[in-house]
Amino acid sequence: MNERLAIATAPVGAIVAEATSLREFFAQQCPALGRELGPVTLEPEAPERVRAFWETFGWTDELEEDGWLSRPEVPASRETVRELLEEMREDDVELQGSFRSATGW
Amino acid sequence: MNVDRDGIGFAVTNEDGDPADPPVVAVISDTGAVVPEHSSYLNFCANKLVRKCFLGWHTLRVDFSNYAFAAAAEAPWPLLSPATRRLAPDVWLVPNYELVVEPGRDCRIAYASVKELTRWLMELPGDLALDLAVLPWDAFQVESFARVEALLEPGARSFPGTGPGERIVVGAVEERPVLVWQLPARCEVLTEPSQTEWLCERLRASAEPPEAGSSAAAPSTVREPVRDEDLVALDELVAELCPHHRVTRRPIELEPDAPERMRRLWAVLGHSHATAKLRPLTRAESRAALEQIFADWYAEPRSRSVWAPEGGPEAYFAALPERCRLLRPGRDEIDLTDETGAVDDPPVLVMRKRRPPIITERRSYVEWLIWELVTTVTRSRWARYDGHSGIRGERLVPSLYPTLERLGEGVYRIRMPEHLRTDSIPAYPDVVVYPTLGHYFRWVLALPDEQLRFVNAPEAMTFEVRLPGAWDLTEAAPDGFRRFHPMDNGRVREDFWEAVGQIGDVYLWLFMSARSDELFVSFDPRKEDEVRAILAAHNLRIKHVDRIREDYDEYGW
Repeated sequence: MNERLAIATAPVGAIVAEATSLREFFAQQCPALGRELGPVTLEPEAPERVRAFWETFGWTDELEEDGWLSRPEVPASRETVRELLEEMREDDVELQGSFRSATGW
Repeated sequence: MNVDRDGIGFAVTNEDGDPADPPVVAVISDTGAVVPEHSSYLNFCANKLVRKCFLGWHTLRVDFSNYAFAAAAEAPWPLLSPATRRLAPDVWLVPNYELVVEPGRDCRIAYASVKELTRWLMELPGDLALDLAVLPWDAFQVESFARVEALLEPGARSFPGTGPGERIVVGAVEERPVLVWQLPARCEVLTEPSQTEWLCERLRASAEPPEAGSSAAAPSTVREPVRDEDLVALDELVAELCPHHRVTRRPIELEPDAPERMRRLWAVLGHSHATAKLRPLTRAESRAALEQIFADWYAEPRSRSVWAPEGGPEAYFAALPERCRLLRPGRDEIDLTDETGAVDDPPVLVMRKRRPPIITERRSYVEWLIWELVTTVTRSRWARYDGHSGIRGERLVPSLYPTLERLGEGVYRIRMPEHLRTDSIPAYPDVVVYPTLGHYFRWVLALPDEQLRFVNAPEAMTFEVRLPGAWDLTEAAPDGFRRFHPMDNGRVREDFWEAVGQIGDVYLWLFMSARSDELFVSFDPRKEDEVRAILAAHNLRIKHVDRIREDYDEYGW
């Protein structure tokens, strides 16, 4: 567990600036993936900084390869979690606790 | 936000209460435990992306006795990834994993060249000790530190290690950068990958592991002329295994001077749903694709330091045969033909992104193509073939591919052509393929007992059943099923039982270990509901489900 980071209180503009810089560096280092980065739009109710980050960085489904990251939009994410919970149910595994109570921050 | 389907579990954000940067919660898939993972989703994602950026860089796992140097270094993304530092233009400190929030022991050094790394180390202020765990794989051992020390140019810097008698020395030998790790029992040396051979020679040591494969192309196999009826038979096989082949086929034209066997094969097969992934490029298309690939490879320090240490991306082309054609672009290596000279069936070479030289994979393009084509279209319709079985069939296309046999109605065996690479071992070099699972089960059930025990379970959906009850194979097989001990490399496995049979129109393959109370039931995924009903009727409880790949029927089923 760790403390809250400065990013939680940083201005959205600062996050956009860093996301822009990270995207440029990413495209330099991984040109094939960088070319695939396209626009992504998160739900209006998504946390503002999260939305600013992904809408600036962009998305390609190739980021999902090897379990690297999952699509940031809620519907895609809900579908994935539903599948995973179903797989656990098929394996006779039940959730031991709730997502809310596990959050220690 | 992150899924490890084969391992630990998955992670999700908790966005209750509209947090500015949501915390991350992990779910452990085999216990169901829900545990706090990280306080920051954005830091988690940014660290993942930063790590992805550096996959193509050389890295060094080293702990420093203090990290004061990091405070003075540039932090390019202080909010998103506060652990990341640019220490020098081409030397970085990057997080080892996504939960790291500050520079320290959970970070590693990423560097573009050993020269940049040693230059940065030599200029580090203060008294630092280094704790090295391992040097990169291209470092080599020498008999003693004294052997290197004698060649070191003045100005080398020495750092204490953490163990007795251990130290790390950075400097240069005849202007080539070196990092030397002296341990009580051994000494390891790291230099630029392109200089390793030179330095080994200079030190009169030969600790480099033998290089995989050979840089010289193997001569193309001289074989009997291609028979037209074999070309027709191959096309019929592809159409049988992939019904869309003929209805989607369009002609393909290669250059008039393309190798003869290659041209004849493609004149018959054409570009279809079955062959699309293997369609040959023209040499002009190949050149354009290679330019893009090499530009991408050149962006990675680990690649350019071995293939193009001096020049630009063009240096990759200098390593290629005079006349060649890209066959298959890959993330870390590419397959290509060597069509230099009067060759009617070129060998297939492999160029690896981070590891020269170019090596030979197959003697024959035609055999490469047929193996790739048949195994591509049957990727969900296959089973392992056991060479000890004595089961033989009729050769289907002897002038094209001597080890493709018809074993029975719709059932074929194909053995991989000679694998010339020594840096990899094929997982399944001999397989049985078929258009439908029904063909395979019917063929298996018609085999005599002495051959049945050699056949293997097919690729299929599988239920794992806890407590097999009336289907306990160690006692007996279900009514009408044929039970046997499988074979493993010519040996009877008396601790395992398998059984094959049919209930209604559902074929089932059963497997059990005598030391376990779990039963595995494999079947056609389209029969999932029927199999669930059959198991329920026998009071058998499904514990785990192994699904077949989602696009299993892309080429047919």
